[in-house]
Amino acid sequence: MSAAGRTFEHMFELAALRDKIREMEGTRVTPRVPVHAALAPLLGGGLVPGGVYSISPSLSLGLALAVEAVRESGWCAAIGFPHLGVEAVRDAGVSLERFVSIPKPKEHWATVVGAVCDGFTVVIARSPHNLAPSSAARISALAHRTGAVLVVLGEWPGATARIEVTSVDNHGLDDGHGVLAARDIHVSAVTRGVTKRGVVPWPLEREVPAAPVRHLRVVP
Amino acid sequence: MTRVIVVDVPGWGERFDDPAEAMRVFEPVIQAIENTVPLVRVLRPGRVAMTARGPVRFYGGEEGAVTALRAVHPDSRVGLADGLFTAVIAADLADPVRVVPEGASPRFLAPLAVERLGDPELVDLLRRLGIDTLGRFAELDRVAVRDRFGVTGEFLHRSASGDDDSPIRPRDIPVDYARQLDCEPPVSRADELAFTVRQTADEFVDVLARDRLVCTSVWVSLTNERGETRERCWAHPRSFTPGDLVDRVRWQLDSIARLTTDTSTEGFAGDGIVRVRFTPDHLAPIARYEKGLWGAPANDRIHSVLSRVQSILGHDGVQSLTVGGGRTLAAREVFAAWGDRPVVDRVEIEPWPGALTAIHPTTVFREMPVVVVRGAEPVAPAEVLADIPRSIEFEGRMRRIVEWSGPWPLWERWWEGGSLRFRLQLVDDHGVAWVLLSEGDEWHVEARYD
Repeated sequence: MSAAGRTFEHMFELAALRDKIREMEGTRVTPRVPVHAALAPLLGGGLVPGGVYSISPSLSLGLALAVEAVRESGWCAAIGFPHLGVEAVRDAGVSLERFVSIPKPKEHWATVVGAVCDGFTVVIARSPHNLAPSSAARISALAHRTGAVLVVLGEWPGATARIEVTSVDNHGLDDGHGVLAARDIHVSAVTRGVTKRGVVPWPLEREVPAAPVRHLRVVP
Repeated sequence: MTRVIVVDVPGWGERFDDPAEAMRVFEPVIQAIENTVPLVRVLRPGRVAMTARGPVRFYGGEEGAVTALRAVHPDSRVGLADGLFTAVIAADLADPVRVVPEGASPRFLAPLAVERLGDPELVDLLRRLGIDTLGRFAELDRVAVRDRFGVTGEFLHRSASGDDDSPIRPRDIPVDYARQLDCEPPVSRADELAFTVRQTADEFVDVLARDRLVCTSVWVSLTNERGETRERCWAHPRSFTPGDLVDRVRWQLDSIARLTTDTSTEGFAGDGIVRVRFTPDHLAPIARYEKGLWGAPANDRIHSVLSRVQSILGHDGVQSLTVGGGRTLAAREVFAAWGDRPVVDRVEIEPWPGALTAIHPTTVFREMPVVVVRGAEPVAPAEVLADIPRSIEFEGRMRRIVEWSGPWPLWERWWEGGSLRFRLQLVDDHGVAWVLLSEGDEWHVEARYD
């Protein structure tokens, strides 16, 4: 075969390889799960299917993460909330018809969370204090495989992002008068070492009154 | 001709949203009947049938039997007639008992509307042919009816003529259609048993389907470790799907449990169930029932996941939620075990004076823990607080209060001498907001925004 012919063949192979790479990239980039507008800029536009989000023990924040993912369809489960405020769940915009509570998973926490990850779109779970790292790894892998978004109230090794409540402004109370009418939940989200800040309004459909100041900071 | 007794509590099924609940509540009635009559066939919650011979002998005559069975429930009606079809109608028209004498069925049925046949398609057709009573239908030639309306038509023609005695008569069912599950180790929880038995139920229905048959009536027998067996015959308006069979197993075990203790299955199932057996009681050709076989629920996957969780944590381990009516936050929440339907006895849309309306807390305590509110001194509940709340002590932690509102009075059933309670909203220095409710001279945490 002539040199020119060989080059031509190489070009052909390269093109095929390039196609293949593009194809692989295509399958790797899965669409993001929608998230509340206040959190979207902090989390790269949406939630990662199969991702695990470790958050401050704030159920409001948990619901804020879940609500858009299950607005049209899909099921949401809350695990480990024996005192769940039903009206708050509904106010957040989560359809109670596609919502279940597993209030006391007790020692079966890992099994139950694992089971629910297979079929539910979002799982909000309060992490137990004594979860073995191996169990956490197993659940992470399971969520990754099924595509369920796991929102853990508490620490989680290797979380996709960690979101913390830094402060809350409560509006409506005034020296013995008024009624709590709105809350601004200030949060900071750390994804792969990058911290972003934002404000989650409560109720969630409320406009955030003042544009929040966002700091972009690279953590070394 | 077999004499059949039907005991019916009118509208029973409509009183409950959930057939399982309807069945559970009906169970004591069945048990009361079973004390004297061994073979009771459940047609549906609220309606049972039995062969009359036993009770008639036991109570010394037909009148005695129907009067005695009438007493099992204050609203019940009892019908006694030749064959199940006539007995069901007799119960329906009973006031409160109705005995159609032997051989009198044709005369009893003749003036009744064809709607009694319960087959809308056939009824519609008969109406268009100008046949409006069971008597006129019965006058048609049976062979002609079968040619025109098939097996179903023939069966209904037999019923309308008052000479159907098939359903109560023991049937000659080939034994190989029966399917059983042996549990090793024994299973004691209804939900766990339901989960385990699913495969057997699938197999039972599949094997029948292969022979173009469906089961419309089935014996479910449960055997415990002591070798005791509880059997019940279940009938289905169309035909049993595997899911229906699993439900019947669960209901049967639940109702046995309900009668022994309220929360556990001690007693019959305490040591565990070692065997579940499905024995067909009545089979029908698939063609007549095909319609009922399709249309599985939309969220099978969710249901199977949650059933699995229930098998681990118990029936109450998974809850569906709804919002009801009430003034306190906890009173407004309605929880129901997955699979049961929530019972809402107060409607949310009524105005509930005193209910917290603005935004709702994420944590609501159904058993409200005590909390100490301090100003300079402990602050006791009153219409006007003695001091400004400065801090609260909860779960051994002191939290500084930065904002507060209240107290608002909350009257509950004051017309019945109920107490006046107060509600207080507080915000602590960590931004957590609290709702406190007074109980006598103490404050309790009603809810928290977290």
